[in-house]
Amino acid sequence: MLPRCTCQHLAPLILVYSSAVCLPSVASAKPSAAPSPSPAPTGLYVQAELGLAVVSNREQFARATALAARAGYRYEHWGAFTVLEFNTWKSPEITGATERVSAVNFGLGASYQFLDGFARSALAFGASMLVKETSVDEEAGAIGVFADARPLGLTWQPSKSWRLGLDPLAAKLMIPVLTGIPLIEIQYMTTFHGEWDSL
Amino acid sequence: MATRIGLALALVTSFVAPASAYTLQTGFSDSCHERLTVKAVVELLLQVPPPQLVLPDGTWDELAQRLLPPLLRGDLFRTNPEVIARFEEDPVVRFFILSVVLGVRAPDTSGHSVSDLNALRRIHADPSAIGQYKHSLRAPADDGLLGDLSAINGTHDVIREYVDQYVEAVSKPPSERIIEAELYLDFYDAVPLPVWEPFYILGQAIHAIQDAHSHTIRSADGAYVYSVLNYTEALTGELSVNRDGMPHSDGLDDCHGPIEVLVNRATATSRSLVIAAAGAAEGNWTRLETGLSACPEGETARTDCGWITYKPDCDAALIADDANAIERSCCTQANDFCGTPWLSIAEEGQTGPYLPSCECRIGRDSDTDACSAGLGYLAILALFAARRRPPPRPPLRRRPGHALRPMTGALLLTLGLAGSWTENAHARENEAFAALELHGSSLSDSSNHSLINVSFGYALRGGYRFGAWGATLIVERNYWVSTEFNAGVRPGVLNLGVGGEYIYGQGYLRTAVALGTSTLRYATPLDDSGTTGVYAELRMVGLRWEPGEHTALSFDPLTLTMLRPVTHAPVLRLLQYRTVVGIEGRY
Repeated sequence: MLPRCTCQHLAPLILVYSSAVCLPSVASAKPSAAPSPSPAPTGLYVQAELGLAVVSNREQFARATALAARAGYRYEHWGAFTVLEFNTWKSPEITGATERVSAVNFGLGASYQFLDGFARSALAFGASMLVKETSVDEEAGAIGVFADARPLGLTWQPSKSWRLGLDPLAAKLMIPVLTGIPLIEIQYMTTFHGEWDSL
Repeated sequence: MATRIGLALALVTSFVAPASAYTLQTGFSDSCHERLTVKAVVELLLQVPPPQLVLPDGTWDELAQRLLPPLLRGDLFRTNPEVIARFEEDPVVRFFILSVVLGVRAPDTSGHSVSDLNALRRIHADPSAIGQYKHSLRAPADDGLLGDLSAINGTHDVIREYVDQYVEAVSKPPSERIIEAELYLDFYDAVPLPVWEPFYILGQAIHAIQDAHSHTIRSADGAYVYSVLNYTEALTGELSVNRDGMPHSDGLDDCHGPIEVLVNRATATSRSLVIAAAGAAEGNWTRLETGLSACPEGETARTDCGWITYKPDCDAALIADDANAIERSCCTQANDFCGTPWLSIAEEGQTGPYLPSCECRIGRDSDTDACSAGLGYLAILALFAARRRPPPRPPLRRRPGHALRPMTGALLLTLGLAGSWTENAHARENEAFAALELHGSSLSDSSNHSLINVSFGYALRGGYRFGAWGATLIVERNYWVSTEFNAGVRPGVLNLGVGGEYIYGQGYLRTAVALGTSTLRYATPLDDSGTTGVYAELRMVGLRWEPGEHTALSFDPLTLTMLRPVTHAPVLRLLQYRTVVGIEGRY
């Protein structure tokens, strides 16, 4: 039997994903045998993040690293946030040497929490700025675009106002240089975060 | 006769005595440089007795036999039985052809994947003059008609430098003339291969002289250069034809197009360059300088001279700084480049900015047109069409390591977080299950790797769950899409594995891991079908939904799968970021 939502007429694949959206109502209908994580809070929150692209390169551990701060407002399951991120990655040169390229990303995003805040999905878009010149880009300051998709992450609430979380695999696309041959960086990252919320 | 002697000389000098833009074959373009080069050089190999050479060990010969015939399909390999026989019988011929083919590809790829975005950008966006002259293109400072002369002189210097290197290479003892170059193979990454250094260098010189026929606007007979094309400023969108020349053209790069005159001249000129290099190795540089000088008046049909010659009357007018003569004799946009028949082809597929109207920058005057992420995605697609150049690159140093090892911590943390949700850990009943899954992957984020990582397939998973924990058997077919030399679907691998899973979050979330064997289902250029290695899969968090008592649907938005069907060097190792959907029966 389908859960209480308007998903029944969708294709099976969409149903699977949308089931996540419908989960809260399902969850509330089921008896809980043991304590579960606290409900998703409503209010302001701030988040600090560390992201590592740990498997993408056979020569180096953590080819890319991201440090980010997120701040937003969560209303029940939905949230809106801004993100400011410093992202740096090792870029191989033709000579065999490695160059470190860095960008600052700023964006807006939306998130959705389900399973009483235990799981979440998020999507963000914004601008990406090259903060240091490279051997190809003689000047820093070029501004392009970035996108960050986190299909499924988990959170844990050790205290009332604090949460810890993990996004096991997230996909990032950054294009800080749009001119000439664009500088395009794709990263699959594992991200850890700590969050403080106002409630 | 002179040709025959010269070709023989080139081989002999490269081998014995210490005495010598067009498109590449890819999944996105047909072989031009390779075919023209082999056409120019292979006769040399047929006209001399097989040299006595101690060939290097390794897999290069197997690769040459599997890779080269399709790469050079048509022409000689289909129509000339002598070439086929020599190629099949004589490993030295295969070694030399492999060397010159890798050499002629090197300026465009430097051993990297044709879809390695980072490498292509570093190669193609090189604004240095020498970087452009290696492809017979204008440097950014080469403006106006004098810029044509500057670019031509620069290309002459590049060819002289290559011939210098060739002479130096042939002066080494034979055992030292075998060096290592890299070739990027689909799914293997860059594979180091031994090459015959003199021919590898000759291949790069031939690349430059062939580009001088596809990156210039020439007279109808191809004898004279009317104008040199421009790549770097075309890319940045700053190009003004009157100042910078016409943009680089895909039309002129396509050797299969209606430019036979130019293609034939490029082939003949390539052959003359080989003869000249052989002469230089013997101490006779006259042939090279003749080739780089204008032909005598009325002898423009010759290909041993006037390889890259600017229109003589325009050249003289520029030197004399005679404005009237310049206007009368030089070819510009104003006079449709002297009515050359190649102009319309040069206007086809002109290079331009990949992201038009998108220049955003802090601290400089900015074009504030909207720049969207959609355009960025288009850039990825557009970049696959990019082809051309770079400098030599040292071999990669690989550090053995297991790609999945660093993810172990993340997996444990995931399970730890999952364990915090305890409400259903003991609530689930034991059950058997069987599932059919479909999976696909698209992109890679690995350094020195093709951006494209398209694979797809299906899997059967069956097992038994003890409450929230489950044990799984997996049979999986994974198909691969190749892009490096030919675009197509390859049979990929058959994976067999065992795994474990944990279901939590009221049954809506699942974390799973699997390990097993991965078996090649087709013969690659280096390994036979049936070669077996290892397979591992991590599904950190996926969604499940149980709409009925005996059914479940699953969706894993992003999983990590490591395939290593070939564990000996060169290793075939794939890292796939997959999206997986499945339907499950539960009993």
